[in-house]
Amino acid sequence: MAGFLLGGVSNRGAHSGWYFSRKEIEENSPSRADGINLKKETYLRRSYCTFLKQLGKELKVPQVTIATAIILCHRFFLRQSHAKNDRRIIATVCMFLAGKVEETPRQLKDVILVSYKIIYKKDPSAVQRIKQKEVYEQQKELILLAETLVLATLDFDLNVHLPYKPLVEAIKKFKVGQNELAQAAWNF
Amino acid sequence: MEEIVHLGIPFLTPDQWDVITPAYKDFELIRSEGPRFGDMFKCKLKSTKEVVAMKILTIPEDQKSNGIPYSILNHVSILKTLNHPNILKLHTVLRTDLDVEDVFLVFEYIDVSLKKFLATPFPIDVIKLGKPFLRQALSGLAYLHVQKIIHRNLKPNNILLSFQNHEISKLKLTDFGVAKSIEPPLSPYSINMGNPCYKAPELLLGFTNYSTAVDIWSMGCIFAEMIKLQPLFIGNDGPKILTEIFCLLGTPTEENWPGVASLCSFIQAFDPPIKPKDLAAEFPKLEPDGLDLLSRMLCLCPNSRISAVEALEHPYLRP
Repeated sequence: MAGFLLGGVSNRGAHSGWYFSRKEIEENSPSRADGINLKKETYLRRSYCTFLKQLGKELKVPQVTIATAIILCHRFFLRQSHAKNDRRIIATVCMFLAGKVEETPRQLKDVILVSYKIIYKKDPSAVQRIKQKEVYEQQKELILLAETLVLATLDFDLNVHLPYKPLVEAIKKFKVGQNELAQAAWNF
Repeated sequence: MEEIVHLGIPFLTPDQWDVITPAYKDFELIRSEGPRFGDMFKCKLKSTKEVVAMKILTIPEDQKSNGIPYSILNHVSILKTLNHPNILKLHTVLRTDLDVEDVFLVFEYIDVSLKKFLATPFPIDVIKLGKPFLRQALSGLAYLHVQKIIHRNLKPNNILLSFQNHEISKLKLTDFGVAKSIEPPLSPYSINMGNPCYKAPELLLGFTNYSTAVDIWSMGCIFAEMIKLQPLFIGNDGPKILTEIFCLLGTPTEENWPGVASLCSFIQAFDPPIKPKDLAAEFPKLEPDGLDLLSRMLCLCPNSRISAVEALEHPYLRP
């Protein structure tokens, strides 16, 4: 039961690790090194965003939590490859973590059930299958293991500064567009 | 939550030893704050011989079913954003595999807490140390507050010092276990954390929309404690401490804390109201500029209390 080293990277201080140039993202991502081309990765990125929006909606978490989950997921795949990590498992963990950091936690059980249902939405037997103890326990172990991996990869940096509140404040202050603009900002 | 000092080898489970012995050696317990707050111990990194401090955060049994609890995520992610000479630096986070469920935080090592320092009869002039102490402590606090983080648990235990030639060479704020980042939307904050002796009056009165000013209050209490060599306000519970506060600073009035004095039944119970004492008589050793700064840090109304940035500009602290 040897422990393994997580987040063995030293603390680099505030917000330094998450700025990448377009070139770094498009040409040198970890997925690219595994032979996933830009077009494919763009598809995968869009896919987990759609997945997270749906997951968040069904778990009834606020928009802020969904946005945080998406950012955590983006961060993960800037440091890890799609070839080695199932995006839907990673996205599920990001939602679970985002719920905790945004103080809108959802029970692990609910997260697992809803996520499983969305992952296998084309398979009508999935809803029944996840209710079996063995299947559920296996999925739970997978998610908890992935939580460790995500935390290690993100180096425990879960600080996400979202633009929503400042933007809405600015819209109010400058009295522009008012409702339409605020609405568009929230839904972005 | 008193600090229990007992030197010796920390008590760890075999699994915990398995995690840390490959890279660390020479373990020595520095302090134990009970299972909720974790033991702190000192050890040496085998590769570089660097002495570090390690804190183990154990995931409570009843929370294991939901992965790593919010409290630990919050604690660690706040530490991750901090990078300032007056804040204890987190070097590394170690985590065991799924069966062990502990998070190990590895920090830089600093000799002594202010609490220990005040308890030992050091041949050091506390009055002389007051300025450098406050300058460094408030720099750390100003940095925190600019990052929109409230510490919420400042006390002599959580201020670490190291000395060189009888002067403070380093001062580090530590223990962000109950720190809070102020992110909109603002929900009501918990008022139950921290040692009551260092709690600001707005917390003791039960206000849930407090802000960074609560840390300034605590720092004012700590500064006063350094001069008096005993805690400024002593008591086990909120009402007792509030009474102590009012006995020194007077009951709040509609003039000095608008809207509160008239609303709060606890305050109205002090009839006739208590008059504030003369701080100069309470702190005869402190020079007038120091008294002025102390009174601004211990201002009852949080909105009028001096901020860390303003305090650093105060005549008492100007070089």
